[in-house]
Amino acid sequence: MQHIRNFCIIAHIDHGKSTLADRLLEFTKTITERQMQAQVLDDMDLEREKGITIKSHAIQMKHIHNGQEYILNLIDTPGHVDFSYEVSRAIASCEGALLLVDAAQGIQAQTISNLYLAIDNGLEIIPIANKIDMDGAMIEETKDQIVDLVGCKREDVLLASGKTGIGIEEILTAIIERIPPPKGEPTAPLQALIFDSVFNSFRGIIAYFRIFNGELKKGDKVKFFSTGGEYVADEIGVLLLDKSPRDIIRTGDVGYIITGIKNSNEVKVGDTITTVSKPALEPIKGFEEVKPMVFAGIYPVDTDDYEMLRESIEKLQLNDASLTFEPESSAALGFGFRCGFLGMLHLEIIQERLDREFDMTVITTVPNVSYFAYLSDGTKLQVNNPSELPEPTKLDRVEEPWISASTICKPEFIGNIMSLCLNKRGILKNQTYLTPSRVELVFEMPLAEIVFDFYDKLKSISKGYASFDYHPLDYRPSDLVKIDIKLNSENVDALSALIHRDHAYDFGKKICEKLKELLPRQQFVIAIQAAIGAKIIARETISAMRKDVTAKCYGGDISRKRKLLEKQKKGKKRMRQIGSVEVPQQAFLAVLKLND
Amino acid sequence: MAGIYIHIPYCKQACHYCNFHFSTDKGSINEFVEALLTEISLKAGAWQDEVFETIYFGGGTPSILSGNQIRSIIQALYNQYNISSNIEQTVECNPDDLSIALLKELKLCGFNRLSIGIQSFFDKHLQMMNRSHNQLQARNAIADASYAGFSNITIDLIYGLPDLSVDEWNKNLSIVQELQVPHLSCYSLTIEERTALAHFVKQNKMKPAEDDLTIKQYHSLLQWSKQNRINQYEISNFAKAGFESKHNSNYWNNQPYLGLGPSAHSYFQNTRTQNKPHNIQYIRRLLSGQLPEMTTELLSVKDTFNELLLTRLRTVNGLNRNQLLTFPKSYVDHVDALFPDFNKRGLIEYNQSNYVLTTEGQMLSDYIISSLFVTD
Ligand SMILES: Nc1nc2c(ncn2[C@@H]2O[C@H](COP(=O)(O)OP(=O)(O)OP(=O)(O)O)[C@@H](O)[C@H]2O)c(=O)[nH]1
Ligand code: SF4
Ligand SMILES: [Mg+2]
Repeated sequence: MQHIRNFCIIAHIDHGKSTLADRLLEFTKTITERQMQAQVLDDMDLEREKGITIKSHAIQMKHIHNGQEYILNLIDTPGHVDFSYEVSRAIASCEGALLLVDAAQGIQAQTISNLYLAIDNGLEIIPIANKIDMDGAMIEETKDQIVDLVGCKREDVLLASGKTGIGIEEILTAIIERIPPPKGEPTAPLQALIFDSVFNSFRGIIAYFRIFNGELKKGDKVKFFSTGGEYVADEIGVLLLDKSPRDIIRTGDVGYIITGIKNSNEVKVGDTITTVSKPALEPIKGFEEVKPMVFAGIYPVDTDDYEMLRESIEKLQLNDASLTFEPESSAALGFGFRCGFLGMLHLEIIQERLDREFDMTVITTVPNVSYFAYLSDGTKLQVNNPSELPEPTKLDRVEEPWISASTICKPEFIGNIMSLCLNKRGILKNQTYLTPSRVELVFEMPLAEIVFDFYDKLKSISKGYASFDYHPLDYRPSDLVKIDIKLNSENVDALSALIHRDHAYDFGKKICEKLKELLPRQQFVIAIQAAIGAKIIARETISAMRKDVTAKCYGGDISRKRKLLEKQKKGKKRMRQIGSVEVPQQAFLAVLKLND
Repeated sequence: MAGIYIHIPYCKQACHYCNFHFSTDKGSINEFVEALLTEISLKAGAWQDEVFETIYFGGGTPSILSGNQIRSIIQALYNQYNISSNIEQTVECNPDDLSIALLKELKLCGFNRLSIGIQSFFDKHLQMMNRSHNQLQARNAIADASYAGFSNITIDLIYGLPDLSVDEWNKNLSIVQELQVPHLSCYSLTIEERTALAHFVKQNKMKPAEDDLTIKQYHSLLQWSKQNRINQYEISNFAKAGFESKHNSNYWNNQPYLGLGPSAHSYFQNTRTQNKPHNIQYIRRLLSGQLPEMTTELLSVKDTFNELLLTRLRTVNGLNRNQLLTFPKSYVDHVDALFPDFNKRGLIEYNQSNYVLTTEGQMLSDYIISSLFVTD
């Protein structure tokens, strides 16, 4: 145990975590040259394509230091704020963290939030100024910032480049010398914390764990604390680039377990594993269960695919415990699911994974946050869907979630950012100069306000420089209205949205305009209306299509035209019929693109 | 009733609306003609059992060729294929190419039908479309063609142009009547992808005509055609009795045709083949004695059914139910299920066993036809 080190790599998004992990894996010869590719741990197609980490990845390395072999368990974490709970899970299984700061960008919002998370969990921090090979690297300034923030000594800050490999050996040395070995009682009853799980269609669910006390042997009968389920440890092992089976995993180490479980409800990330023969008395204090921030309806494009969609979402959930879902139905879209997401990026990723991994093209309804409705008789209701908002007459009040949002930017952008946040109903709480050229602004604002277009706006008004982070605060009363959208007087429930009254008119107008752009012309006039109750607040019309004719139809035109019309027809099949109006899938996402 | 189509893939300049296969780089014309002659020889064997009733030179711009070049192509065809003595032999020409000398040469080559790309008798429209001729050349070309002895003349006109008023359109039609042209093809302007026009529209430099205005022009056209007995026989085609194009009618009657030249299509027994639309590759292959690269498509029953709808419903005679009944029952059921609604909306009628589009239906023909398509 003295020779095990468990650490994670944390940083702001894109500060080079996965690339630095590549260099560590290379240097320790954990992976061969042939296996090497950029950000090798980002093994999901989507991660590779988007160039970001979505899931944490654990891998074991061996390194000889002063003649002694050490086992180093590394967890690479995602930087995007939607996935910050992945970071908190990784942190719970480690004794130390590499905190990377991109030397060309300096400290950013998630640098701070992830650092505090690690400090709160008692982790040893190894601060690193990364990407020092870059022309724009401000090494000394970044060091200053780190010293200020972490409260460490200047010489504690390591310099590295994941690109060129500078500083890799020093980092390995620091991991061994500065991060304490795991504590724990090898002879005590087994307590292993599940920090992640993945689904494999042949093997079932594979749970990743970190042993805090005791040890686990292949063939042991194990028990999961929160569910009470008992299973046999069919296979246990450590995580190299692939899984590598072992007969025993000891205190302090990280590994995986396969028990043949196929049902996602039976494995809860954050749960504790113990043995049946010598059970621990209590679970390890895990981490908070993750709560979805944003809700949206997900419907199959083809109503017949409902069952298949359910299966697909269930399978996705096996790999992504943060996804929640329950059945719902819509007059416009039929049967589907109300899903909970960590944020808009998470929503987008789930939608894309359904498409790629399960060939399920889906329609997503207007996302909203989760509200509490208090009725006049004192009942409290959770509202995750516009249709669940009670009648105004029965309603005493509605409360909405608020967040504490922090953004770090150059002083010249303060004005723009202030007016953006105030416009989004934000309240400025704090303004701190981290250095003369970097200021942190802390706002309290409604979560609903950052769901739609906040990031894009923030980026554009700060020329891409401002970084953003948030955490949930509390619920506060809100003057909420439900906006309904009608097509030829027919209500499209899937386009209803819950909006603060101050923004209702503007929102109604914009969504009508956007729909006018997105709905194809049909053989009759289409009236698009936005309404609050019976009151119409915005209106657009699409004139009828009266001409749809090919000019020439000779020789080769015939097959070209046939194929074109067949293709258009296939496209139409994917549309939804609302009354007599055909609505393409992307129209349901109109709200997300209001400012395009 | 087999036909031969020859594609001449060169033009003086690119018209803004055009998405046909052509090149404005004429440097390779001589080699092209040589390559074409080779293709004619290489394909002759396979088509020996057909008697050809029509020959059609299209493009591009066939009138860009010299009289000698045209003559050599025609001679090759007559020498190596069975050409009916009752041949309809058409050549597409641009007005600015039609000298009396060329007209005489065409006559000598056996052409008995001229298709002249007029498009409009107003210079502003011709300029807007980047046509290579002006209105005076257009009128002269028609007069000269009659003078040279061509009685079967067809001209192309375009309506639904961004800058065309109903009055101007009527004026165009009355000139056709004045010049006693017996056949007319009228195309509603289509803004095709990857054309200059599509680009202008996207950049907001040009606004497409309103549907309603285009439809008004179409109604004027139909009225004019009735008054002057230049009868509509297909959505875009009008002719005095006996002057209907045999070559084009073949396409709509599922007849075989041989296509020669880059981008040309051939059709024989449910198989459609297209020569690759690439001049230089076409020339290179043929000059080394190989056939051009071709893509072949075997039409399924479903494809044939959809093409039948696409071609027949555009004709004034319409689609005969007996022909429908030769297809699987589910296809017919599909048509039967949709017919009543289209009929009630006044878009399609059923007369004497034929399904025929109404005037409103013709303007929405793509929508109706594609709805009737069977897809999997
Ligand atoms: N010049 C230079 N570029 C680097 C270095 N490290 C990473 N990059 C580049 O920075 C970008 C982000 O690198 P990643 O390793 O994916 O960053 P990350 O922190 O894992 O990103 P997330 O997981 O999405 O938060 C990539 O384009 C890398 O090529 C470095 O040391 N020097
Ligand atoms: S002349 Fe004919 S083929 Fe050539 S560009 Fe103009 S329209 Fe197209
Ligand atoms: Mg990463």
